[in-house]
Amino acid sequence: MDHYVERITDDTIVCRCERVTAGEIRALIRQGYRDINEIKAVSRAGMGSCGAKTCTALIHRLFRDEGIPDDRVVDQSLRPLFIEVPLEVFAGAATHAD
Amino acid sequence: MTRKHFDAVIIGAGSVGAPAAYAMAAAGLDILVVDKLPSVGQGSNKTAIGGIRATHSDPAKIRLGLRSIEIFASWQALHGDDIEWYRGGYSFVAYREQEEKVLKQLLEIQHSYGLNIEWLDRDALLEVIPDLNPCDLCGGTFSPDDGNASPLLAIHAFYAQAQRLGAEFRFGERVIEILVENGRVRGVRTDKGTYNTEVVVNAAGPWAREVAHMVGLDVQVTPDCHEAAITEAVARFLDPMVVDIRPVPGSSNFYFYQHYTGQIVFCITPSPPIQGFDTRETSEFLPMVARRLLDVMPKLKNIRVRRTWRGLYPMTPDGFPIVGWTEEGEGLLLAVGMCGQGFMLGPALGELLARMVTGALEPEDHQVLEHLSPYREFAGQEKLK
Repeated sequence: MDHYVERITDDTIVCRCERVTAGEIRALIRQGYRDINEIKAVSRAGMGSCGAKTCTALIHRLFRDEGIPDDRVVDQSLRPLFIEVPLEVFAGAATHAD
Repeated sequence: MTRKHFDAVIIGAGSVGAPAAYAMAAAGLDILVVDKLPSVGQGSNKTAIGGIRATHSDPAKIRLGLRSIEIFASWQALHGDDIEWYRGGYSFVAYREQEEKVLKQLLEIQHSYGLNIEWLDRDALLEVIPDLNPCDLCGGTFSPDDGNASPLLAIHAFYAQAQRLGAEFRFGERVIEILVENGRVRGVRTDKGTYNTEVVVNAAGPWAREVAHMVGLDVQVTPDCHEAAITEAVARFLDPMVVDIRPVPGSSNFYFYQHYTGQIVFCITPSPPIQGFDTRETSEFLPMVARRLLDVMPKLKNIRVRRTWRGLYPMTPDGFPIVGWTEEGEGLLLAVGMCGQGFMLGPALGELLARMVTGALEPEDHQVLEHLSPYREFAGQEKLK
């Protein structure tokens, strides 16, 4: 089962949308970052098109790898939209006022 | 329990508190910043869209705006951090005579305070913003020295520099009491400790009123909620922040710009205002704003929207910030009611607050403080909110 718990290498991409590596996140965790909102603000991890669907679980795992318990970690805000939609779709959409 | 003496305790590590901590620490003061949220800028800073302008309608904000622009623009050269500053300018566009008239009238005041701003007629404006809808366009103002930056990166830069200069930050810590003895500030009690100080700065943004209530003072700051969105990143095609001040049902003005990293960021001022602390996103926002946006710039129709969010504008009765020492308690300094402009005013305001605390006011500061006084009449109305 060794390969299941293999350490995530520093050059592993954790946030594919914004191309943020595990090494960058790990460095922030080691500097004392505990709020994922703050990690997001300085690294852009979680700000891309997928809406933080991939990186969230991996960032949590990196915290656990560093020995930080889950209850010390502040999760980031998840906001709509979760898929990207062209502006013209919204411009054609009805509002309550219509 | 920690007990320590600080030259000043700042309540709120946001768009005002963080640069104020930096400016005060740079002035040699021993500073503590306390914020109830888990890290820097987690209140309203992270919801700011990043516009930075000196194009205001009054001398106080023009002066603060001009100095803030200098600080943002020179930051990377001085300190090395990339805060994504981009000098793209601002353009208030007019599609009707009435807006043209309002904007042209303001130019006189703006010129008298030394702002670099001019009126561009339709064709000249289209050279600066080629993708504006030319139909019915009268023209617009253009102030090329204004710009934008990343609120997230900028606040981290101020935070890091403040720490380097010795300022301390306590997060996830809530101020419970401002200790006052014989009408004089003596300290701050939080849920984790007590700190001695003779100066407390209220930089609590939308929460400024409840902080002021701790000393029995009512400051007229009421949060009102604005909604914003960001798109995917695309190659640069738009330089200035475009502001359309025409009121339409549901919104008064709206504005958009292309960030340094390519995304289009846009925002409306809801009409009537939506007061309160609720920041849940609405389903009305995108249909309403997308129509306005595509009306002014049809080219945007294919760009994909990535995310929406809402943020709080701590409003005052006249739309101007409240900055000054309180008469009710010696040592209490208000830096509140930024009306949605804390990010752009913060750096210059931080320096002003530092000069107030050290007693080193410059001659021009007196006019600024008179305009922003907590004891003014609140009778005017900001024309370029």
